[in-house]
Amino acid sequence: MRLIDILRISIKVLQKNFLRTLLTTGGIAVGIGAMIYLVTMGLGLEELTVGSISKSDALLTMDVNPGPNEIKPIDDSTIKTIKSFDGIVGVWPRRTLSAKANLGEKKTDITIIAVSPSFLQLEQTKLVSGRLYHDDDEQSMVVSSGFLKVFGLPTKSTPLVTFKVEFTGVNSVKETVVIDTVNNFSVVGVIEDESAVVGYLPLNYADTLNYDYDNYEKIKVKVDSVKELQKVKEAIVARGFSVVTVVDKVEEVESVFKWIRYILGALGIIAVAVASIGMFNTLTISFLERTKEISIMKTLGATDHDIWRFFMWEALILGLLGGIMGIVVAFFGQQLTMLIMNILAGLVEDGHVVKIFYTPMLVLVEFLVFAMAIAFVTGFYPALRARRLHPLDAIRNE
Amino acid sequence: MYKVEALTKSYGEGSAYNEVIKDVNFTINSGEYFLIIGPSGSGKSTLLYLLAGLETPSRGSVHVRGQDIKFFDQNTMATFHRINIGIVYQSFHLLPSFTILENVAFPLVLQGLRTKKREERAMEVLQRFGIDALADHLPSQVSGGQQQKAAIARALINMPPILLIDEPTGNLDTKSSQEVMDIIEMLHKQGGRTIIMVTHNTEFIKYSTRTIHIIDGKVYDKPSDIPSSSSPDLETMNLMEKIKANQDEDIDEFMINPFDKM
Repeated sequence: MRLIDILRISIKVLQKNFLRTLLTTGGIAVGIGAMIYLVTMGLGLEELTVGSISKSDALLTMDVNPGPNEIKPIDDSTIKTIKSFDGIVGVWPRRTLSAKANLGEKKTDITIIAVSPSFLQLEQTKLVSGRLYHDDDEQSMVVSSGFLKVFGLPTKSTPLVTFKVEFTGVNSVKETVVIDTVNNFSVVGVIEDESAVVGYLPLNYADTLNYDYDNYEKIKVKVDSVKELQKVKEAIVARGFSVVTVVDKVEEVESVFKWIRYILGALGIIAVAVASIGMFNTLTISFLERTKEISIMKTLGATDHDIWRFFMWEALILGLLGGIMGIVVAFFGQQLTMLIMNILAGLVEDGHVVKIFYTPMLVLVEFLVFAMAIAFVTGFYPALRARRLHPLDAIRNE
Repeated sequence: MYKVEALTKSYGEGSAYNEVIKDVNFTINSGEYFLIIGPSGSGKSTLLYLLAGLETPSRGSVHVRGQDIKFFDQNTMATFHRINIGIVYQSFHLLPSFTILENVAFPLVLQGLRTKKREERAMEVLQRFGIDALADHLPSQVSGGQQQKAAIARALINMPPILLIDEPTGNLDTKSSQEVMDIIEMLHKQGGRTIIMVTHNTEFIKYSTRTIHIIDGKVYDKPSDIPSSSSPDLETMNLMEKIKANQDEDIDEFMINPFDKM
């Protein structure tokens, strides 16, 4: 018997019982739709998080910190050693200084981070105003908006005023003393961070200050390819330092989202389980209603395998239709959610909507296959009963 | 063509044991119009199903062209049903969701024929039986006689050499019964087909080339062989009387023109 005829007959049966077909596929569609909706939401949230940390350069960089308990400090020789490794694009150290910033009568403690502008670029530091300083700039700094807020200055524009900065240190009797004072510090850029009072300045300039440096706080290392990343990381770790790569962070985030996806998927599975019971019910009823028809077909020379194929294809068609409808249901669910989020975002000043669903084609294909797999499983038993039916079972009773 | 030996069919066990066919022996030759006549409950339908291979003998054997059909595997049996025999039932047994045309063409679907070809062939047979105008109707939309014609058409679509017919006029009015009888007669005469029919309708005796009688699961070649101890109920007695009358009539007819109905 040709497959096309089996399909035709199966479709005919499904068409004949249109309402039942519709309700069954509807059940599957809701189940599959809920799963797709939840899983794509999990993927979307992950994409949002991972996407922001794993762009381009960030993937090729790693942060090298002193070894555990700072037994292994980072100094110039460390930098020299790392620079000698293969595949190193650059090494950027970071120092932290403490200082007091003065503007007129106002005074505040400020954390000064001395790094080259490349360091900030690798960290994907975003400016709300102005620019980053250059490596050879003097008496220029980039500050956090929190710093400007302390002085009552507008936080979204670069101020034209200059600050007096007193760099402080701790003397031998552990008293905080002013080490160096710079009178005219100008602000060239502002970073959005309301919670911190931080100023960034070029490392080269910091080195000219009369400051008693011991070691670097940490260094950023960039390699030329992801392939080199692991090798360099291992070499640095072997020398006693601790290393964090973006890949680690991504993996960490991914593992969290993997669980979120599992939980969301599990919720969807409950819906699918309910739908499966409905489908099993439909196919069993379909079998019971058609025992006579199956009997007749068998007496006319249909093989048990033909009958089996009728039922399995009927189930698979139901599964496929349910899967396709499920995709449509999920799509509408996503659109509706985005619409509601848009309306809510409109109510908030400056609110902008992020895309919280990520729907790769492969996921949809997987769910279609999944729907058909459910159909296969639920169709198996009714098909087996139909296959085993004795041709005279229904005819003899008449 | 058919050789039935010591054929017995029983159902149940112990106190529920019931022998429906009891040690039956007969042969049917190719081209015969073989009638198995008996009252309802005599086991005639079961006997037909055994001949069709739809029932498995409890004992004994049914040989078709030298092959014991009991040993057919599922696929061989399906092929046997598709190619070698056509079955017509008292209740027609058309597929309710298929049109008359689709019903008639269904055996060709099982054969794997293409849609156009099988519909052409089904249409031809429907035309032959004068029901081509009903091709697109569902079985529920046509009369019993028309359904039975369609069922016969379906049984014939593969041009099987053997037709097994179970009480073809049981559910039909007189006019339709006559039409169906004529069709079966024509199939026998024109096609040289072996017709094996079980019925309680003695009208068919005049068409048959040979008749055996079945009472309580046992077969008898002549009505006179039926023992009076076989607890004949009213229906059986009536039937036996009809058989006798019909046979006398038959003999008269044969004497006038023996080829009239061939």
